[in-house]
Amino acid sequence: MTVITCQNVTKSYRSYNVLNDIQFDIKENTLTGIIGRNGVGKTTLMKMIAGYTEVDAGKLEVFSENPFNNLIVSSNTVFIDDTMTFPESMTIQDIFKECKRFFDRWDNQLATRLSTYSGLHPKTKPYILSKGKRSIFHAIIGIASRSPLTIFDEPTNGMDAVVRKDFYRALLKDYIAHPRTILLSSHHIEEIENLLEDVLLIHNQTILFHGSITDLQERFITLMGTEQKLGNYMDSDDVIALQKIDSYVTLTMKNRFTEQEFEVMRENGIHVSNVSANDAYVALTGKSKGGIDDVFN
Amino acid sequence: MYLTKPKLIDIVSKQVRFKLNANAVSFSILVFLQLLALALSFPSMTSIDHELDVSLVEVSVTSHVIFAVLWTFFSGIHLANCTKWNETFTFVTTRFTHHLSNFFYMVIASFIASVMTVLASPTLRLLTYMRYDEIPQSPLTIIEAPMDFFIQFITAFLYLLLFFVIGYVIQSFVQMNGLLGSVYLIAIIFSLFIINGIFGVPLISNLVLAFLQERSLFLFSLKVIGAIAVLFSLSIWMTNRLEVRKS
Amino acid sequence: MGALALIPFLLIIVIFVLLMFGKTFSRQGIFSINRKFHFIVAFSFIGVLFIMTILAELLYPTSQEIERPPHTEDTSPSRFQAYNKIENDIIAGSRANSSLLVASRTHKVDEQLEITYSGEFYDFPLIYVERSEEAENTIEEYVYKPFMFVNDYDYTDKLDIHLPTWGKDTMTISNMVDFNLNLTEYSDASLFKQFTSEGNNSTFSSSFGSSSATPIIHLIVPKDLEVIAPFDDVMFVEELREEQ
Repeated sequence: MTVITCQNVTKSYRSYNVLNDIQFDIKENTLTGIIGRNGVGKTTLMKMIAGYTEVDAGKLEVFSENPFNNLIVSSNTVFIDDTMTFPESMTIQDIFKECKRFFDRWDNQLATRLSTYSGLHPKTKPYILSKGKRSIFHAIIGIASRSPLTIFDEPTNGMDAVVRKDFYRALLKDYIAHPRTILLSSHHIEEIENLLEDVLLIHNQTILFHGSITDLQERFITLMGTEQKLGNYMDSDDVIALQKIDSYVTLTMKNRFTEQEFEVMRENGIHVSNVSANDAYVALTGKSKGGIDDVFN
Repeated sequence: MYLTKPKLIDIVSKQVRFKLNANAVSFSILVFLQLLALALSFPSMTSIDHELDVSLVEVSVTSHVIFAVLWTFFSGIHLANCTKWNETFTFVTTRFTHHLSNFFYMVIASFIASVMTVLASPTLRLLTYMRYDEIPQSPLTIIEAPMDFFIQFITAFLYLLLFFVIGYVIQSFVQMNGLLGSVYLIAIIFSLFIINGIFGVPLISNLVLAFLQERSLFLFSLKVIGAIAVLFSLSIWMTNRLEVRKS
Repeated sequence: MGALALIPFLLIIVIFVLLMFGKTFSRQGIFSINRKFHFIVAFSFIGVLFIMTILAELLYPTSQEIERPPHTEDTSPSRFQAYNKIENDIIAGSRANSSLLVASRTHKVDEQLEITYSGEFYDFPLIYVERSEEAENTIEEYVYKPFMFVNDYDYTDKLDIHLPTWGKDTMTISNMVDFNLNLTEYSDASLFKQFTSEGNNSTFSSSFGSSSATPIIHLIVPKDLEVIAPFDDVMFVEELREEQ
C-alpha cells in the first residue's frame, strides 16, 4: 500500500521556488531517509506531508487523502521537530498523559522507561530543558507514539554522539517490533546509513534519487591503483573525486561498469571498493568544479 | 497497518480536556480576581453625616462583574495566541476542530465564571449583614424571585461568553495575519466609530445599545448567539489557510 | 464581626504567596501545584459560595420581611404639614395637636428662668416662649416631635428624644435627638439585571438625602418671668404675633 503519493508537486515561498514538479511514492512500513543540502526543502516537504502547509500545485496524498487540514491524516501522523511546543504549565508526565489521550497506539511504559533512561525527570517542564534534552524528549514522543506515519525532522539536533547512537538503536528496535512508515531527515548520513532502508535525495528543487540505500551506493565506485593502471579512467567525465599520493591514485567515479569489467580491473590489480552512502551523497550534490579552496585562492 | 478513523466529536472532546488541563492556571487566577473583588467591594462606609449620625453603607457586586468580564476578555485573547495554535498541532487536530474545541472551552469557562459572579451576590449580602448587623436593603432575594436569579445567571453567561469571543477574534486578527491582520482590525474598529448608523450615531453605539437596551431575554440570546456565530466564522475563515509553526 | 473583613485579604495574600513561590515549593517537594490543584481551588471556591448563598437565603429574612419604617411618600406630607402647623398654632394661641407631643410637663418657677445649653451638639431646638396671664409660678412645657427622613424612609418614630432637664430656675438643654442609623444598601450589578423584573434602574443612591427638623419646645411662662437665654435662640410669641 502506498502511504504517500506525490505527483507534480510544486511549492514556492514568495517568488522563490523551493520544490519544482517533484514526484515520488512512499510505501507502507518503510524507513526512508530524506536527505539533501541545507535549505533544499526537506522540512518544507515534510510539513506538506504532515499537513501543516499546502502545496502550490500538483497532487499530494497521504493515506489517500489530501493531508492539509485533514483529521484522518492528523490522527495517524506525528511530526517531530525542534519547533514543537507544549503548554508551558505542563510537566513531562502531563504531556505523556495527553499523548496517551491523542495517540491510539501510545506506549506509556516505553515512553516512561526511555525518559528515565535519558535522565528526564517526569515532573520537569520541557521548556526549561536544554536543547539536547529537549530533542531527546521529542524523539521519545516520536518513537512511543507509534503513529502509522512518523516524521522526524532532524531529530538529533543538539544530541551528543552517545545519545544519537541510542536514539537510532531505539528507533530501529521499535520499528522492527512495530512496523510503521517513518520519514527521517538528518545531516549525519554516515550515522544513519545502517539504519535506513530507503533514501529520498532532494537537490536543486527536484528529487535526485529515490531508492534503497544500497542502490545509492552502487551509483558510484572507488578505484584504487597506480596512476599507470588507472590512466584511462582518470580523464573520464565520470570522475567525481581524485586523490593522488605519489603515484598511487584513488578515484571515485560514476559506476558505469559491468561486473565483467570489474573482474578485468581486479585482474589488472585495480582495487575496487564500494562507496559509502555519505560519499555518494556528497558526490551527487557537491559542486562539480572546484570547492571551498577556490574561495580562498 | 490499520488506520485510526477518528470521529470529530471524539477529537473535539479530547482537545477540550487537553485545553482545560493546559489552561488550569487561569481558573485559579479567576478565583484570585473574585477574592480581590470581594475584598474591594467588602462593605465599607461611604458617607458619614456627623450631624445626624447616619452612616450609609453601599454594597454592590459590580467589581465582581468587572473582573469577570476582564478575565473572560483576556482569556479569549490568550486562547487565540499563536503559541496555543502551535501547541494544538503537536497533537491531533485540524483548524476546524481547534476552533470548535476552543469554543467549547470558552463555554465551560464562561459557565464557571458566571456561576462565581452570580453566587457572589448573596454571599456579599450575607457578609454585609455579618459585618454591620443590619439587613441590607436589597433587591429581591433568591427565595422570593427564583426566576430572577436564574435570568441573571443566563444574562451573565451570555455576556461573558460574548466578551470571550470578542477577545478571541481580536487576537485572531492580530496574531494570525501579522501586520495585515492588525491593519484590518484597526480599520474595522475605526470605521465602527466613524460610520454613522441609525439615528445618526456611530455604528458602535448602535451595536452596543442593541445589546444593552434589549428588553427581551429571548431576543437578547438570539443576538448574542448570532454575534458569536459571526465572529467565530470570521475567526475560522481567517485562519483556515494559515500555516503552522510560522516561527 | 470586623474580623470577617480580613478573610478576603488573607486569602489574597495566600494566593499571592503561592503565585510567587509556587515554583520553589514545587521543586522542593513541599507540595506540587499542578492542574489538579487549580481545579480544586476553583471548585472549592464555588462550593464555599454555594454554602454562603444557602446560608444567606435560609437565615436572613427576605427583602419584604425586613422591618422598615414607613415610606416618606406616605407620611411626609402630613408630617411637614403638621410640623409647620405647630408654629402657627402656637402663634395663634391654640394648643397644638397632642398627637405631635412628645411630652408635656409643668414646672414650678420663681422669678427667672435661665435656659442653658450643655454639651456639644448641633441641632438646637426651636424654643417658643409664650407669656400668659394665667400661669402663676408655673411653666407649662410642651415638647413636640421633630421629624427625620433619610433616603425616602421616615425615621421619626425611631428617634430617641431627650427632654431638657429642669433645675430650680434653669432649663438645661442637651442633645435632644439621639439618632444612630446604619443604613446598608445592596444592589446587584446593573449589567446582569437587564432582564430581571427590576430592570436596569437602580434603587441605589450614591448620595443620600435627608430631611430633618429639630424638636419644638413650647413654654408657657408667667407674664413677668425673666427669661435668660443665650444666643437669642428663644422666640417670644408676642413678638411673633406683632410681626404678623
